[in-house]
Amino acid sequence: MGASRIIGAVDIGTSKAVAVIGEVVAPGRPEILGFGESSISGIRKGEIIDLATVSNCVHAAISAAETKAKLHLTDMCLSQSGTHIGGMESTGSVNVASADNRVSQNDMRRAAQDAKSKELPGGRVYINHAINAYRLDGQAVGNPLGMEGRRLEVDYWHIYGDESKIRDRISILTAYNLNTSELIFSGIAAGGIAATETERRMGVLVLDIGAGTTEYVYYRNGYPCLTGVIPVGGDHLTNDLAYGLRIGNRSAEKLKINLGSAFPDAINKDDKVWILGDKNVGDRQIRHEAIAQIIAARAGELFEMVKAELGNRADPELMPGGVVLTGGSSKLDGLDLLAGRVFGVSARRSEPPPGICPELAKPEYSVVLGLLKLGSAEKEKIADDAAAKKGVRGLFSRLLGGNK
Amino acid sequence: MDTDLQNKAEKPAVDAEQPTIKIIGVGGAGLAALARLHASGLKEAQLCALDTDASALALSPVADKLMIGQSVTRGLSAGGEVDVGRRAAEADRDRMVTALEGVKLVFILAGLGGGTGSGAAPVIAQVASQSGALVVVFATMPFIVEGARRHRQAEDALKYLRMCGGDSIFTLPNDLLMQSLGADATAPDVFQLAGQWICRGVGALCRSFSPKAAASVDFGTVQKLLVGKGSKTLFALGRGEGEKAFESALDTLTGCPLLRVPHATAQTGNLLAYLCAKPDFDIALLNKLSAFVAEKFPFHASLSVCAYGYESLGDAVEVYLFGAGEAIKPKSPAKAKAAEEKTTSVTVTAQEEFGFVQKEAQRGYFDGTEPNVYKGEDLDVPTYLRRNLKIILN
Repeated sequence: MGASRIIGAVDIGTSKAVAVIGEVVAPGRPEILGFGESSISGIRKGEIIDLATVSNCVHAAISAAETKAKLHLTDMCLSQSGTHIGGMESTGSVNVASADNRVSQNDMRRAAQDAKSKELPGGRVYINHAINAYRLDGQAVGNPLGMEGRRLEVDYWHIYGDESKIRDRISILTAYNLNTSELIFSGIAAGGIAATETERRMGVLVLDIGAGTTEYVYYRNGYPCLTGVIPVGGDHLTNDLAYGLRIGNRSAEKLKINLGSAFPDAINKDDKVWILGDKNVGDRQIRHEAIAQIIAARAGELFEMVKAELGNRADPELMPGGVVLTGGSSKLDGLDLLAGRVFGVSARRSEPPPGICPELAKPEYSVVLGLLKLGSAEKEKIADDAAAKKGVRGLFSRLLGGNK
Repeated sequence: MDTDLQNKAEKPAVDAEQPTIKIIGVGGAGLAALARLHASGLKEAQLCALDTDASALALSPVADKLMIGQSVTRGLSAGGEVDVGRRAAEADRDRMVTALEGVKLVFILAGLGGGTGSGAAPVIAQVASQSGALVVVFATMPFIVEGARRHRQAEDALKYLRMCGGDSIFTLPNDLLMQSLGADATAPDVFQLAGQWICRGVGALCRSFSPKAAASVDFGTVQKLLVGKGSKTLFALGRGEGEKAFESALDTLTGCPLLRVPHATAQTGNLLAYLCAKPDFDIALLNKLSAFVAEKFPFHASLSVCAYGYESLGDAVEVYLFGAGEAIKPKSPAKAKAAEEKTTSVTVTAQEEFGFVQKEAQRGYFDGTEPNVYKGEDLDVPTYLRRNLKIILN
């Protein structure tokens, strides 16, 4: 049916909700028909603390997108984030069934099922399963279909989250009479836009630094093999400044955007700036470097934390693609330099996808655009009933089943 | 304006009718500030050292010593336990009552966060308040890096102080003081600065209604100013030397770290501006000072100005600003001007001050959310604080 070419995506972030509606013209290349945005209150560090308020904000964004696109949707892709989201590795293995020891479609499906059948701790549900690699009799292979071997193994990276918190987000869409067609970890959505396919194959770390949280995804061989969320984002930078300089949060936010930098070395030691700009009591001149020092301490710590989470994968040898920064807070001056220094690889800011309208050509929209891209790819697959199994798929029928 | 310009030479000595002032240093930080006041040769007030620790008291140069809680601590320190400090003070309440008899104005100097200061200061405030004295507290607040426990103790002590009858409580957060010092400042430097500022502030307030003041306010005015229960308090000071001493004093006053809080201008009602200079200073400076303060604090309800002449200052000029009481609400300029004429009297119960490191300031925006604990550290607390990095602002 024609309507199936239309796809929508909603990203609920800490500071804003964005809804985008697109039409799939080529696989994975949706054309934007409309988008809506509304600022959110009621989310701190990626966790919903006031569901009703958040719900209203999200509905406002969806409604704006629908008005612009002049159509109503029945289902949308939804991003998932928050500190409750975790990841784990697992391996599924099966003996090759057929007599001639050639791997069949069925073997691959059973191996995948075995990997995905790992029980999660109570209250957790899977969000995404990312296939990493196949091994046939211990040898890594790209696509084992039709190859000869006895034992087929498959490595998966699973992303799971707290069931009730995921339900909260889905319920926001349900309240707007929308089904959730895909549930995708926001880090993976952003990674699909921010990093190129070549980078993802070589090994790249994508950091989506939002207002409340930072999602990291490490790609290797084209697939996400390590993901996570760190509850530190741009709000922390603002709060640190507000605290260190004794100014209000709003002034601190303004200061961060106008004069913030994460790389003190690049700032002249004698530079002084007015802290509020109104030159009243309380306003004073401070060293520009002090602002950068406060920010660099926080951002450096964030990068160090991600580096620690990556463990031995943080080796520059395993990260030839470098580090890609995306998300609203990645616009901060000097952040790429700092990331480059901490990780010891080249770091760059993400670029908007080619041909995107200028309003959406900002790093804070990579999640929602990535959702749309992954969602449309998924839709293509379903439409074509293709057997392709690779890539990230939102498999959460268990959750949706329980939701109805 | 309440200023009452008087000629020093013509003023007869009426010391007998002057209200008795007693300055009580409580605990380690309090004794240190007291020792400094003693050395400064303040004649207007009696100094009294109060501690649980016999050895600390023995070291104090002040003659009037009051050891409390011998039955509780056996002459040792309170060991950082507020409860011990409080029990020690309660045990010797009668002696405090005697010590404070007939005193009209009591200053309590204490470092909050520890045992004796946090525990005993509220009790003394209560005793003093019950005896009818005006109670003014100068308290230093602990560094953030000293940990959550000391912070809580300091905050609780502040709460008790307010409840127990502290009329005006001026706080000096150590973290703020640290910012005004140079890159290689150490904690002892900060304690010294705190002592110095408290000493200057107390001295200024004591002398503001002294008959020797070049331009004094009467005790009633000071009383009206400081009985600011339920209001914010404000204390800032500046000093200038050399040719443009007065101008640079105003500059440092504007930049005083104790003013570094949001909306500092809009929160205190009754202001007392105070000028210290050599005895033959130009009287026009007083007008300049009051004009300057009136401009910077447009929402004040009343403004008093006084001055004191010091030989020892040379060509240096010191300016002080004290504030308490509710600020008037910002109104249209015409109305604001009308309101400026009449003094508002305020009786609100919960006193807050600014300049104090509040709980919300530690986690700020993230207050009320779950602690963000990662490897034993709360990530919502600024990194530079947890890592103890020194950020030099000036």
